[in-house]
Amino acid sequence: MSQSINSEAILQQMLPVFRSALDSPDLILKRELDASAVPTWDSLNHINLIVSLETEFGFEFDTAEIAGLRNVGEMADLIVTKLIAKN
Amino acid sequence: MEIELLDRKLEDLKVGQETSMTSRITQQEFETFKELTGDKAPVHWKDSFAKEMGYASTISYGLLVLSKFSGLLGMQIPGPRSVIVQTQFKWKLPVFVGDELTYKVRISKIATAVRLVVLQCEVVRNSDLIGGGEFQCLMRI
Repeated sequence: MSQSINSEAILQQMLPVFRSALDSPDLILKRELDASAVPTWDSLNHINLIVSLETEFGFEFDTAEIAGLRNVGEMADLIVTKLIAKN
Repeated sequence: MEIELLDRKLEDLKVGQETSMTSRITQQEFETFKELTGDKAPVHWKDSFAKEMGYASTISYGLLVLSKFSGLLGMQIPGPRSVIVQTQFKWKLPVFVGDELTYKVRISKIATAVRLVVLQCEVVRNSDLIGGGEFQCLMRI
């Protein structure tokens, strides 16, 4: 299975987590989406989002891992990488 | 009320760490809280009104009860490097002036990447659970 296919599946799994954590029930997740395009994606909701993603996928992020993420696509790729490493 | 200051860093905190204290809701606190908040609702001040609402007598302010967690959180766990960013609390029993309450907090999760500490909390009077909930605290430094 290629990483891009996995990332798409992960994006689908991330969608309800994003909608809940960012309080945006109609949010559409695209790889290029970033915080600047979502009014409710503020610093506190970002914390909620990271914690919710950790719960959803069953691992913990490192500070350095999330510090450099530029958009949803990079976040999905990181999740795929961590899931592969976990398994 | 004197609470010992314990300066803990994020790396000093562990899931399962807990602390507690006992404190009484005094008449002076009750009256100060009324002036501070402007809450003069009769359920807190008029016995007959409180009884009409189903209570034995006037009840304490719920947020006065809850406010005492600030001492535990700010002074001990997570400590002075933290700020509260989110909370939820469910009250199960009323509190009356003069009640002695035990406050407990326990770390249930630490999200290191975002420096967030999640704590479960409860207030107990004798063996009765007054209420419980959760605080989320951000370790700023």
